[in-house]
Amino acid sequence: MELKICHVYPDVLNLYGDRGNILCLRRRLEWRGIDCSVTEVPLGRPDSFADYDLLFLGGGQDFEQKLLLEDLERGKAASLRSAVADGKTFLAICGGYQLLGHYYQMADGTHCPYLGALDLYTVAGEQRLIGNTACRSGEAGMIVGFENHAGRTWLGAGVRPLGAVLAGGGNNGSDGGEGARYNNVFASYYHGPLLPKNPALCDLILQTALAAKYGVAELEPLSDTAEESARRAVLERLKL
Amino acid sequence: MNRMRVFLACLVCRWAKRLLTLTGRGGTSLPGKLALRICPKLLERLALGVEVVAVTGTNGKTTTAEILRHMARAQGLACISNVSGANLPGGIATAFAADTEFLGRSRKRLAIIECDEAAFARTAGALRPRVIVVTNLFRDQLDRYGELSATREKLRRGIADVPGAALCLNADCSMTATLAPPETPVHFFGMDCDLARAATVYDAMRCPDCGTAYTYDSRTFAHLGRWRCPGCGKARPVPEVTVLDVRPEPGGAALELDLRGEKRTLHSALESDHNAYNAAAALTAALTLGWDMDTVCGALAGVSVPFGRTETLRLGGREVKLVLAKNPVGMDCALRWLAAAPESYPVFCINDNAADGTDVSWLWDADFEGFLAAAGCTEAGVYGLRRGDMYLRLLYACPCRDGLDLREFTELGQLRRLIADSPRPVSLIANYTAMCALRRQLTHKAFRREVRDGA
Repeated sequence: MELKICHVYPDVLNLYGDRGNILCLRRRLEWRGIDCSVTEVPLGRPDSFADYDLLFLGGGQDFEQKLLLEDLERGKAASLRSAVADGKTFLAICGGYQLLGHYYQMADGTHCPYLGALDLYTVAGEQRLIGNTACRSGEAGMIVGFENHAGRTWLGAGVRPLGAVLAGGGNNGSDGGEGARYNNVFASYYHGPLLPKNPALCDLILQTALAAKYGVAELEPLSDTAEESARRAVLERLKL
Repeated sequence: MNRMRVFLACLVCRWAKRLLTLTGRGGTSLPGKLALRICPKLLERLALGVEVVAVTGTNGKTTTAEILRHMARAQGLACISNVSGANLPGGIATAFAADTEFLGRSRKRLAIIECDEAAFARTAGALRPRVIVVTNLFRDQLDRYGELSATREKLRRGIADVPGAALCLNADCSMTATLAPPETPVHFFGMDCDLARAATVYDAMRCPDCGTAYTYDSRTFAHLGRWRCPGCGKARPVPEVTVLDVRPEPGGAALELDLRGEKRTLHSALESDHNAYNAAAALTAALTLGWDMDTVCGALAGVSVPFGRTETLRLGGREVKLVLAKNPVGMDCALRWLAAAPESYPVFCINDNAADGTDVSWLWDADFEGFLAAAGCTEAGVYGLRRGDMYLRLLYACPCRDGLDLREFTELGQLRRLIADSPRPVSLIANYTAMCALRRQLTHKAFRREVRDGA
């Protein structure tokens, strides 16, 4: 078995240790003897995403957004939209998560059209939501992380939240949802990075990608004691 | 009325500082905060008639300010300074107010002040520096500062507030070199050597004006180097002070420099390549101030390391290295230093207190993979409030899940026993509050005795 991982825009979507998610996906495959390759697709490189099994979009900084949108319009947007529709597995964090939605409305009212691959949109809020966080997901149990975002994201009817907020602001600070699930897309505001302290979620994403490619996928369990202890430290801090 | 307020503020500040120092609490920021409460315009008043050198940027502020202080002393100049690195308005006010005459006038005519980069927009206007030094800009404490572009904007505003100030900027950092308002003369410093040690994550890969990716003639750290934008032709400016080569030598490093066209080889007491930037920054500021070249060059050999910056603590008969690393680039520098000291046992000490930034995800932006591969490191320890995250970072850095012998130190006592008993010398790589706490606790008299007696 082999998984082909694609880091989309590593040159602009790489904030807050997000590359730790790629490292985590990779190591948890390697430690089980499953092959994997990681391809970086930066700005300006034309590419079709049909050849990859698992796509990763990280968080970014506002000032690089214009460049990114121009690049998307040169062909990558359509390819990413069909990858989502075709059931490719995605992990999208923060800015990358917002990018999958219809649009981002900036504080001054400017409307930035995004990919529209998922039925959701984001509006800039006044206060940034910052701090240690946790939510509960039906598929992956308790998820911990660190959020830092000004955007408030609202999900449409066809998109479910990834989890129910236990601590922190989540998608918008008011509807109790955090992140998004649609088809094989996993999206979240959580940095930290997200996956190392949430091994169950990491394995779920890997399993989803392997199952989409090979039909069935059983992952041999890893001990995860260090992961559990780091998780527990955050949960204790949040009094959960 | 105003004079009365200044007088009162300084009086309260001096007393509060004395009281806090007597009770062993340090007192670096609180007295100044109280003083600012009494007289919000205190900094403006006390900085009046004082020649202020402000040092700001992400990494190297404390070291650069320390080198400058040392050069000032060599020039026979006494200066006001926030020595302990308390670089927010409260700490700066403490430094000024504690150094006043009875009536509340500054005693010294020179101040070398380290300023927090995010608070610079607030402090610059008050201090009206004669010289502003910006060391570099890297990602750091994104939970506190927001995005790096926001920090850069604050620096830009602070600089624009003091149009008469002489600017000393790092030419190799594209984000720093372009901070000056148009038509402003700038004194640049930089490094011409190729250290080929750029980390994997870059903060400034592209030209903010035209979006083209920079190309480099040579590179030093992260995005620093001789950059050039093929799109709009902007390029790294020619520095006034250039480091041509750095070679380690006993007791520090040999720096080969081009100082305004004059070639010199100097001995610097500071080890590690990245300190060459701090030396170049300080030399540029000193020359801008018109200080004597021979005197300041000589002073470089006698600088002592500011606390916690690759500092050696002698505890009983044992030597412990204490290395500050509080952001990805700082950690990469620490890891390079560690790779050159393979005999030492590293313990990574990570806290997430407010002064550290509460977000520890930056640990994943540092190149631990490269370090493990290059250094052949097989064992390490973790300590601090976020030791769990640090443990995971090291675990995932290693291609083989059991490839590293990792030890978790849950309390100080265990760390003390390690220092006393370990056959290998211990190196503590710590972020800010972890470093401060360790330094205080480990240098406590009782412990030094404990180590010596082998208890």
